Amino acid sequence: MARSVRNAHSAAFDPAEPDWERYLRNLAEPSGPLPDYRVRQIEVLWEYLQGRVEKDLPLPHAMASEAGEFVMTWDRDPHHFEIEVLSNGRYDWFYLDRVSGERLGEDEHPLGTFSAEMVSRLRRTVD
Amino acid sequence: MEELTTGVVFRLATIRHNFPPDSEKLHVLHLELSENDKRQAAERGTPALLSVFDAADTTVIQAEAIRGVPDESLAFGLRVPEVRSLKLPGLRQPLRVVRDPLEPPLSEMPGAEGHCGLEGLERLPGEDRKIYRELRVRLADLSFRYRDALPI
Repeated sequence: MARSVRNAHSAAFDPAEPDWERYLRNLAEPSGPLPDYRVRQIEVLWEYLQGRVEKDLPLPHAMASEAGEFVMTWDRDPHHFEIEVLSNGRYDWFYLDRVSGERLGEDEHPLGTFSAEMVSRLRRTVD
Repeated sequence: MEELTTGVVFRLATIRHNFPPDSEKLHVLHLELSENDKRQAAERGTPALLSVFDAADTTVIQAEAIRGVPDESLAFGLRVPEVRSLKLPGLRQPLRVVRDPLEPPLSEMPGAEGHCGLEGLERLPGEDRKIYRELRVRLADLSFRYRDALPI
């Protein structure tokens, strides 16, 4: 899959052919820091997000640490949204409106479940 | 600890597992304290610090040698007055940039005197996680790609 990137931090790179799926696959050990099952969890979460939020969900800025943390972020104007996929099969999400100061989020949400607040804030960020 | 009030510090950030691999800003995960940062602080009895370098004392090349991450890392700058002026509702204390002397043999390397730490990123038990998530977002917003000045 090669898609364009819409992201507030995206100006510095060539958005021509970023390969999100290949990136996720390369996160798996031994080339990456995550066990196979965690990469699969992230892939499943991504599919759910596309189904529940937006089919053409903009690609996030994402990062995995050597310690196994994984965070995806979306930024548009005042809106910031992030999801941290945890090693226990759950995830945290966080939303910030930089102008109003509104901040919302939930911790330890089971993968495969979404609150209405989460979906609305991610939509607000990417729409 | 001696506090910096002016100037620019930079953070070396590993981008090996970043998507996309290039960015003008730090990722919020670059601003999380590692377990090692917290453990060292507990051993020393000091606040946990996020490693940065004073750009007045250390070049990016020197910092890369000290940190041992010459490949797949980028330097991102932060203006100290902007860091110090970050104020958020509910934040226990404002962020500070303090000198953080390295131990031998790292302290003997060129540029080691510029090692500093960002203090105030550690969430204490019972504190709202969202405050610190916002703090990392605001800090990342302040960051910029930093490169050594070219020699004249």
